[in-house]
Amino acid sequence: MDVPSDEALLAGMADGDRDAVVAFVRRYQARVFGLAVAVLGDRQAAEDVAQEALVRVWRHARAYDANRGSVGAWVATIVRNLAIDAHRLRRESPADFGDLSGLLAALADVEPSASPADQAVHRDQLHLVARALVSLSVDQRRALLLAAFHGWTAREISEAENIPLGTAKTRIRDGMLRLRAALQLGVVR
Amino acid sequence: VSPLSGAGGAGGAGEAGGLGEAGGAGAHPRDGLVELALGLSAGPDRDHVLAHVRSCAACQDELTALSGTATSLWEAARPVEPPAGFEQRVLASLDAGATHHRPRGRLLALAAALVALVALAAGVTVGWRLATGRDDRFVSEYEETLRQLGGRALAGARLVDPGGAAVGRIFVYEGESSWLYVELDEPPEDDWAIFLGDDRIGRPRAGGWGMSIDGIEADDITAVEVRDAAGGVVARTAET
Repeated sequence: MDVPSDEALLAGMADGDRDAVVAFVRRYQARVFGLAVAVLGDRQAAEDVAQEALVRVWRHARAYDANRGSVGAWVATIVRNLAIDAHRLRRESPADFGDLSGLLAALADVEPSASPADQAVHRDQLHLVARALVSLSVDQRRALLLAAFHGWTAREISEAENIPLGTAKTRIRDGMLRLRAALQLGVVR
Repeated sequence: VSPLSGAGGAGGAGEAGGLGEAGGAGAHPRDGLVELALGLSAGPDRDHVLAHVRSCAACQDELTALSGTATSLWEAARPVEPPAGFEQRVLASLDAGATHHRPRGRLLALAAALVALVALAAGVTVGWRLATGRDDRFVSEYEETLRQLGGRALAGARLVDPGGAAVGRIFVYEGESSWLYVELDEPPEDDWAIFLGDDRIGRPRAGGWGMSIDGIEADDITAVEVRDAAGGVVARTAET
């Protein structure tokens, strides 16, 4: 039997198909939880965020528009936004996130306990992104990861790193541009 | 030509940039596009960039590409198996939500129409964020206000005309009793009506109008239109 696509499962969720809901949760829970852990660095908080993210996916399944991006990208955006909001509500200061070692580790390896399908999907993506991140300078990589995963603005980065605001903006922007270029090269190779 | 071309690809040498680089009316908001793609911008800064993007094909393409880059990063986080029982808790939560939160009667149809109109540019929460939440005092006051009222959520969004200009506001409060309030700066002289999806839910007599929305979660109210007597759209919630 064919494996239903992500889009088909979302459509089923929107129509109240419980089998689709169960299949979607099983397919995505490790990815959702993994991203929440990467952003929050706290498994308990990540569990709350992951659960809320899946509830929101279910609640808004009918609104998903394939023309705006993949299901994975849509889900990842929801998780990331919720995780950053959770940080802010806990009033954690940017200084709490100065150490990126946990995040870099989350981007550097595949958890052995992940399902074979998750491992396979993630390895391809991981290798591409990991190679692309290596192409950035240390400062660009740090600024980009702080912005992308922890929601730091350029102003927060400039204050935390004691650098001019313009420098912080440039690091984020250049990091994004170089990452994009590297990813594009990775795709065509 | 990319709006970001010349932005410095060699080691971050350039110090030009910042939101000010968009200075001229037609200038491309280079850093604004990056911040939007990364989900960092909010409020007037975000509105400014979105208004530019709506009328600039190059920036639309750039934003699409940057958003793709950002999501590539987020999707690269390694999958981690959640704790035992997580799946059961999620499914129980969904089952409970399917019965407990389902709006009743006429409002059910409204909610279904609304959900279909969620704008997805940067996830479901962006367009209705109350604020950035970075100001501790602000967050504290917000939480205290909700605590005193027994409220669960207070959200707001700008109403814009078809050209993208701000023409009003909409507020949603979710609590023991929940309500929605729409306000136009210059309401049409003729009849005007408020629509949630395809459902007309009210016909205001002045510049402001509200209704009880008990049974609908604030998070589910995602798009509202104001239409004139001929059915033309006068204003809608700002695209997210």
